[in-house]
Amino acid sequence: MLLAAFDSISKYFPDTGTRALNSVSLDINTGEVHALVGENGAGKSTLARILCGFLRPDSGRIVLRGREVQFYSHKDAERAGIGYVPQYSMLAHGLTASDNLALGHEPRKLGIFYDRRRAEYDFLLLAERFGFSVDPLKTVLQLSQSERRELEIMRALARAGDILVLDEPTSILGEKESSSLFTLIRRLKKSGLAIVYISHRSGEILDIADRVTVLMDGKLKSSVDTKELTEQSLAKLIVSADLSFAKAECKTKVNAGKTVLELEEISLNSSIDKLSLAVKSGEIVGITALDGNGLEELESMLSGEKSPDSGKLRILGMEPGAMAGKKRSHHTVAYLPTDREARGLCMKASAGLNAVAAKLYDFGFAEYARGRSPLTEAERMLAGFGVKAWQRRRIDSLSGGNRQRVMAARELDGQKALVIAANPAQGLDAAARSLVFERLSAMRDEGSAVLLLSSDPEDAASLADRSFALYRGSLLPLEAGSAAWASSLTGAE
Amino acid sequence: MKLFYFTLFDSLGYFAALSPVIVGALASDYVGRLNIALEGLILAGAFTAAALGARFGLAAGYLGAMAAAGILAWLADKFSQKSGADSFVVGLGLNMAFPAFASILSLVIFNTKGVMPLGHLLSGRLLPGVEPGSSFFSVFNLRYSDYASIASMLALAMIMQCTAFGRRAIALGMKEDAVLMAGLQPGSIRSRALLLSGLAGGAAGASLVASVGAWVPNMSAGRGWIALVAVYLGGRQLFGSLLAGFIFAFLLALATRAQSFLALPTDILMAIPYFLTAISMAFGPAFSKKNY
Amino acid sequence: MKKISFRSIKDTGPSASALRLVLSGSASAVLVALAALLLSKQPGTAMKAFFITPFASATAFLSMLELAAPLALCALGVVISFRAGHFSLGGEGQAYAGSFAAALFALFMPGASGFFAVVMAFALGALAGALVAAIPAAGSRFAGTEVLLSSLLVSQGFIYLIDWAISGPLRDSSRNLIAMPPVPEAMLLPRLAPPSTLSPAPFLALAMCFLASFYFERTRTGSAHDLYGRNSRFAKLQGYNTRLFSWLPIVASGAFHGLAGAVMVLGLRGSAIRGMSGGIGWSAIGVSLIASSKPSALFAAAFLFAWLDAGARQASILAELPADSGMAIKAMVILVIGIRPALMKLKRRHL
Repeated sequence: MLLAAFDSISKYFPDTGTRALNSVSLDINTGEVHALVGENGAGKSTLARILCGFLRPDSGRIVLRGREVQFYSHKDAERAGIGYVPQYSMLAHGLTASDNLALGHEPRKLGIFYDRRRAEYDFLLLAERFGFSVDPLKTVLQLSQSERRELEIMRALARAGDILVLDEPTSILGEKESSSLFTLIRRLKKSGLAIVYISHRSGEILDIADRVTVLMDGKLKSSVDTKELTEQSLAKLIVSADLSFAKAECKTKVNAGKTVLELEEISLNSSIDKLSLAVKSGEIVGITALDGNGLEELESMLSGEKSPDSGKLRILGMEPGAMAGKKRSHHTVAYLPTDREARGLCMKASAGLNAVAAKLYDFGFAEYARGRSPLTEAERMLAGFGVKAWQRRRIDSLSGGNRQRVMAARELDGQKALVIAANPAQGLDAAARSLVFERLSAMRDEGSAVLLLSSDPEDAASLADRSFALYRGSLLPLEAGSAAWASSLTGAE
Repeated sequence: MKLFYFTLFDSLGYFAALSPVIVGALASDYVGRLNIALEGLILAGAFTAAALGARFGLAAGYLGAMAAAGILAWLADKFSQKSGADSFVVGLGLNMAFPAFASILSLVIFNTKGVMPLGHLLSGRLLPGVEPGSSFFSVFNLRYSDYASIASMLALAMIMQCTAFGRRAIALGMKEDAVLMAGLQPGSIRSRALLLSGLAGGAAGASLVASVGAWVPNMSAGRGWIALVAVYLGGRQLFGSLLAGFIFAFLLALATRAQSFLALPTDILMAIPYFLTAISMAFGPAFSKKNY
Repeated sequence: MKKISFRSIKDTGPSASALRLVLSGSASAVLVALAALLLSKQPGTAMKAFFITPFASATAFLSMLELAAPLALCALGVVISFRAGHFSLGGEGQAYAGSFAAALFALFMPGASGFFAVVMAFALGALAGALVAAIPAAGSRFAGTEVLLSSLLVSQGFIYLIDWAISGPLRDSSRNLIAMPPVPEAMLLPRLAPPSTLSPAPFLALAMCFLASFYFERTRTGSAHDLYGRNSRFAKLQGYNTRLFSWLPIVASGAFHGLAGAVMVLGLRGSAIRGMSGGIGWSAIGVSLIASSKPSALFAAAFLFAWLDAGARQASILAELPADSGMAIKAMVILVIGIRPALMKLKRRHL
C-alpha cells in the first residue's frame, strides 16, 4: 500500500554550488524495506534529510496518505509519522536510555517534575511491543554500539510509527551486530512499518531490502526490485564511476624503492582490523572506501592524532607522533587532511601565511622581517596552484576550492619523502583537480611515496599505481576493471 | 574540639551564600555557556537587595535581587547571541560594570560610596541566645538568610536534577544533536539556564546583605569565581561541585580561625586556600566521570 | 640592498584596530557626556573636566601619558597571552608582585641609584610577575589546566601574601598610608617635564609596544605564536614548538604585568601601597580588546582609558561626579566594542 510519495524533489545548495537533488521521486509502501543507495555525494543523505523535515526542498511535493504535506521541522515530520535514525549517534551520552527516549516529551509529576519511573515504564512498554532488549537504566556510555543503535530506533519509533528512515545504520556496527539489527528490521517490517534504508553495502541490501532506488549525482538512476538483482549487478549500480579508462594514460614505469610507510597489523577499536600495508618511494598507493568503512580512522592514525590499539605504524622508521613536531618541518612528510578547516589551515590568518607556514624557519630572521621574501615565496607557491594575488586574503573569506588550493600549495611544495593525501580533490573543480593530481604524479616520479586516501574511487583509479578498497576496516586489493572495484567497495561476494 | 565547631560554623556560613552560585554556575556550564559574569551578578543582586530592602523590607529585597540578576543574566545572553559579541568579553564587561554602577547608585541612593549599614535587614539566628559554634548543635545556628540561601540552592538543584527542563539542559551540554532530535530549541534552553544562574547570583547577593546587615562595596568577594572553580573541581557534577565549594569554605574558615593558635597573620592564612585550590586544579576534576 | 615591504605577509587587509579605536573613542565621548548630564550636579564643569582640562595644559596631557604607561604594559602582557590562546586573568596579582619586588629592591638597596638601579628594579619586577604567572603556566604545560581560573586563583593568593607584607613587617609606620617606605629619590624615574608627572615610562611602554608589534608582525616565532593561538592543532602539524607556546606566553605576560607594577612604584606612586594594583588587570584586558590585540594600537587604547580615569577623577572633585563613573564608562565601552564581530561579519564578502 502506498504510504508516501515524494514527487520531483529538487534541492540546490548555493553555499557550495551543488545541485544535490534534481527532480527525484520516491514511493514508500507499508511493510516494505526500501533501500536508498548511491555513491558518496549522490544525494542520499539530502533526500533523507528532506524526508525527515530537517531540510526543505526547493521544489517538489510530498504526498502522505493521499494528502500533500509540508514539513517545516523534524517535529512536523515526526507528527506525520516519519522517524529518523541518524548515521552517527545523536544521544546524550551521560543520560540513561530511558532519559534519552523521553527527552523533549518527558512525562511529568505535579506538572513540573520529571517522572523518571513513568519514563522507564514507557520505555519498557515500547521495548516490549517491538522486542527491544536495551536496559533503560544504563547510561548511553554503558551501552554497546548496537544497543545505542537500537535505542535510536526506539526513539524514532516512540515519536513516529509509520516510516523509519535509517541512515547507514551498519556503518559503525560489526558483522554480528549488523545481523541482529537485520532481524529487528524484519520484525518491524512485519508489523507494517515502512523502512527507508540508506546504505552502500550490496550484501546487506539484498539481504533485507525489497526495493532499491539508486541515486547518482542527485538524479534518480533506477528503481529496481531486489529480486531482479545479484550482488554484482547491484554493486555496478551503486559505484557508477567509469573506471575502465583507469591507469591508461599515466603509465610511467614504477620504480618502487625503499619502504617509507609501513603499517603492520594495526587495529583501532572496531573500525580498523589488522591492516597491513607498505608504501614504497616512487609509487602512489590509493585506498578508497565508501563512508563508514574506517577511512577516517585510518587517516587519524596516519596523522598521529590517534594511536593504533595494536600493531605497528612506522613512517621512515618512526612513529607518527614523533614525526609531528620538528621532523615534519624538515619537509619529509606532506599531509593534506580531510578536515582542512580544523587542521589543514588556520582560518583566521592570511592565505600567504598559511602557504609558508610549514617553512617559516627557512627564512632568515632579517629576510622574514623585511617581509618581501615570504610574500614573493607565498605568491610563487600559490600561483602554482592557480591562486593569484590573494596572499593577504583571510582564509575564511575564500571558497572551499580555493582553501584546498592554498593547502595543497603548502603541502605539495618541494620534495617530500612521503605524501599523505586525504581527499586531495575535495571541493576542487576539474582543472584544479588535475593540477593537484599532476603534482602528485610528479612527486611520485621524483621519488616520493604517495598514499592517497579517497572516498572517491575515481581518484584512486585515475592516479594510483596500486589501489585498495577499505571495507569494514580491511584492505582488499583492487584490480583494474569496473565490476571488481564495485564489488570490493560494497562488499559484494 | 571547640575550634572545630567554630570552623565548621564559619564554613557553613560562607558556604551558604556560595552554594546557590555553584548550582547557578553548574546550570550555565551544563548548557555550555559558563557564566563568568557571576561575580558581578552577585554584586548586582546584593545592591538591589540593599536598595529595595532599605525601603520595602527584606522580602522585597530578595525578590528584587533575584529578578534583577536573573534578568541581567538573561539580557546579557541575548545580547551576545544577537550581536555576535563573544560571551567571554560580555562577561568581563559586566564584571567591570556592576561594581561601578553599584557604587554610583549607592552614592545616589545611600549618599555614600562606602559601607551602608542597614541594620533592619540583618536577619535573625535560628537559635537566638545560643552562642554560635560553641557546641555541635550551635554549629547550625546560622542566620535565617543563610538558610534561605541554602533553600534557594536546593530549589535550583531540584530544577536542574528533577525537572524536564533540567534533563534537557544536561542533555544539551552532552550533545546538542540529542536536543535537536527531540525537537527542542537549544537557544531557548541556554537562555533559561543563564536566567537561572542569574537568579542564583541574585539570591546569593541578597542573602549576603541579610547576613551582614549592610551594603558593602565588593561584598561578593570572589564568590562568583570560586563557584566557577568549584564546578571545575567538582567535575561538573552537582554533589562534587558542592563538595568542592564546601571544602574551599572550610579551608577559608580554618584560615580565619587559625590565627588564634598559629602565629601567622590573617593575610598569609587567607592566601593558602587559594593556592591549594589552584594546585588541586592541576590534578584535574576530582569527581569526574570517566569516558566522557 | 633588498627592499623592505611596507606590509607583511600577516596583514589581512586594512586593519580593524584603527576603526575599533575610533569607535571606542566616540562611544567613550558619548558615555562621558551622558554621565556628566545624568550623574553630576554641575554637568558643565564635569564636561569641562573631561573634554577641556586634560587637553588644555601640557602638564595635564603629559600626566595622562604617564598614567597610560603601566596600563599599556599590562595590556601588552594580556595581548601576549591571549594571542597564544591562553586567557589568563591573573594580571592583577602579577602587577602587584612587580610593584612589591621593585619596592623591596629599593628597601634593601637604598644606596643604589641612577640608571642601573632602575633597570635592576624593573628586572626584578618583571621577574616577580613572571614567577606569579609561572604557576598557572606550569599547570598549562604539564597538566593542560585552563589558565582562565587557575591564574585568577594564584593571583588572588599572591595578593593576600603581598597585602600582608606591605601592611605587616614591611610597613612604613611613620605614614598614614598602608605602604612600604618610599623609594629613595635617587631611584625614582626622573620627571621629564615638571610639574607634570611625565617620566620615561611612557617611552618605555611605547618601545615595548613597538618591539612586540615587530615580534608579532615581522618575526617567524611571532607568526608561529599567532598561528598557535588561533589553531593549536594546525600549529602542531606545521612542526612548531607547541610545547613552548603552551607555557612561555603566560610567563612572558606575567613579566610585562610585573614590569608595569615596577613602573608604578618608581614612577607615579613612589612606593608600594596596599591595593595599588586595584582593577588594573581588568582594565588591561579592556585595553587589549579595544586595540583588537594589536600592540601597535595598544598605547592609544591605554591612553583612552587613562583619559577616562583622569577625567573622572577631576570631575569627581570639581563636579561631584561619582568616582566610579570612569570605571562604568570603561565597562560600557568594552560591551560596545563587543558588538564589532557582528559588524565584521556583515562586511565580509565571499569569493
